[in-house]
Amino acid sequence: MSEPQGEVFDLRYRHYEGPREGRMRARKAIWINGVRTSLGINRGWGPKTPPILLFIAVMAPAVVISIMAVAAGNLEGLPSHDTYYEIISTLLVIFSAIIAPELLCSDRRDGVINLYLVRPLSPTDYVIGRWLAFLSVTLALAYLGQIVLFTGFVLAAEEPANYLRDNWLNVPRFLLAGLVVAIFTTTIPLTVSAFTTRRAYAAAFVIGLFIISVPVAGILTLCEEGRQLPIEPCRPPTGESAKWFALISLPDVPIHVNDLIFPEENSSEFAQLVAKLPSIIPITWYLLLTIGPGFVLWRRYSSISI
Amino acid sequence: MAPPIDVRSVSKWFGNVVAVNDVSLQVNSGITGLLGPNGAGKTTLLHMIAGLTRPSEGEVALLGEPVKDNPQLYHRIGFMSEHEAVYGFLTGREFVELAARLYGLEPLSLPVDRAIKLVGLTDVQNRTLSTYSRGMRQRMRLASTLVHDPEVLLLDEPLNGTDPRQRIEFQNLMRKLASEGRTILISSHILEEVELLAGSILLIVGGKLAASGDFRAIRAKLDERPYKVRIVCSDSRAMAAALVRLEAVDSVSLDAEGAVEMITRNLSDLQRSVPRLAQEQHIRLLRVEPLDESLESVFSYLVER
Repeated sequence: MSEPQGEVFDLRYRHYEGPREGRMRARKAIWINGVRTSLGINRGWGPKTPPILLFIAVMAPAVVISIMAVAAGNLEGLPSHDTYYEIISTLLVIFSAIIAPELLCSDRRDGVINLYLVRPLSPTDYVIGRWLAFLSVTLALAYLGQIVLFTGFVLAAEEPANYLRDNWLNVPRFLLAGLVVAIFTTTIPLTVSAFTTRRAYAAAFVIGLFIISVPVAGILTLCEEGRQLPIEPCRPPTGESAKWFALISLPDVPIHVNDLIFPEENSSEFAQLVAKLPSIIPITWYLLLTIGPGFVLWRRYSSISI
Repeated sequence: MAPPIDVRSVSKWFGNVVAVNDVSLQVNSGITGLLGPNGAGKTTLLHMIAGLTRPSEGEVALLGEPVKDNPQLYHRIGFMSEHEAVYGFLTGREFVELAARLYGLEPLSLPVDRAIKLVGLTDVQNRTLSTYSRGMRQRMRLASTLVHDPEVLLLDEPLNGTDPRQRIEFQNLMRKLASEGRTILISSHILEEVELLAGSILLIVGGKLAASGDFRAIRAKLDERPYKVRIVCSDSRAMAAALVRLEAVDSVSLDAEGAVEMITRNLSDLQRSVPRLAQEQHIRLLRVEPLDESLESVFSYLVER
């Protein structure tokens, strides 16, 4: 007969002896938390509703164009990949202006940023994590529309295989152009959000800045009224400098780079004016308006003190 | 061996306001209370120790390493801020998991389970933080501070919002953690909170370190020190004559403006006697002021509360 067996378990607090991974894991945690916060995942309907509505609004043009293409059975006269970002750029700006402040303003207002600053990561890790999180959201939004559009066009084509063969280059083009648009619409709203704890102020400022820039550029560049079209040539009030002033329109800044990526000509008036400039100018202007605010955003957080 | 917390000649000013003025201190393992009235500079000092605020002057080292721009050090430190900084939409468990992820712990479940169990919130861990009481949120924040098993714990007013039972549980938990060799610095503006818990205290008054050590020893030392007090009244000579008869008074003199200046070793006796004497002598008291303000503050904080 065997001896009765017994064991007493030690239920006291035991030290954590598992691995302590590096900063990449912490950065990943910030990124995941940022994506969740942007989209209101696992939250009530209040925080979820704005991203859902804006998501539907941004996706709607792609869905409508695709349906029209499939219904008509041809792509004649329909907007395509080259003009898609121009169509949604204003919506994308509104989306970013409303959602981006959620990532930075609330953390500072509620003091939650302390949670990050006393963990093994630097303020730079925090702000880059937040930036990457929001970039992922805007990028997904930009790409999803183009993917819907591409799928719609393939289905609408008489010979889908031929369409794919003839238009496959549009895929890397819209991927690159989408990245250009997403970086722009991520960086400026987040930079503005770094200077206020009130989400509404940040959103209003960004939307105001982008909206005002369009008529300002229009006043400075568009043809004078009263001319006899099409006999008289266009005479912008700023003359030859109009092509430079066309760069003022902020929603169009990434679109000018988009126009360089796609071979098709953009017929909009700002695009026509900017096309007269050397290609390096809209690219440099775009880089200035992304790297500049990006640097300000980084500086703002790299030296943050509570 | 360097002390776990080493603060060297640290000052912090915000514009013209000096929040912390040339403070040097060392904290060893065990529980130390950082005491002082509201606005004394405790939180600023704790933020500088935690690396959240850069000192205007001086240096802070934790566990022998500089704290600023040294994120890896946070693997060994736990900091809990005074303000309720939580994501209300996360469950208590998700909140602690987020902290564990930020600390790079893998797998998460074991340390998260332990930390939540330690603060006694296992039953409610899957409720969102917005539904917690203030005391529960404090405890869950404490769990997120403890999840990575830190060697140094910096807690800013951790007992805010807790009820008496939770305070006792918190005190037991802190004692247990301290007995494991950790260094715990707890700030509070309530002496009674820390009195039962901390082996030694650091007393901050007006941004300066006014006293450090065992608070009973500090009290005893204060009793031995003479205080200088100035009294402006309607009849200084009569007041001086009455005061000199008191045992609590060591010496009395009249200053250039005719006010009474005296030295005492028993301030509390004096505070009771002066109004009585004035009433008996029909003297109107215009002003009674200590001439050694920092000591007065220390004394009133430790004795009169």
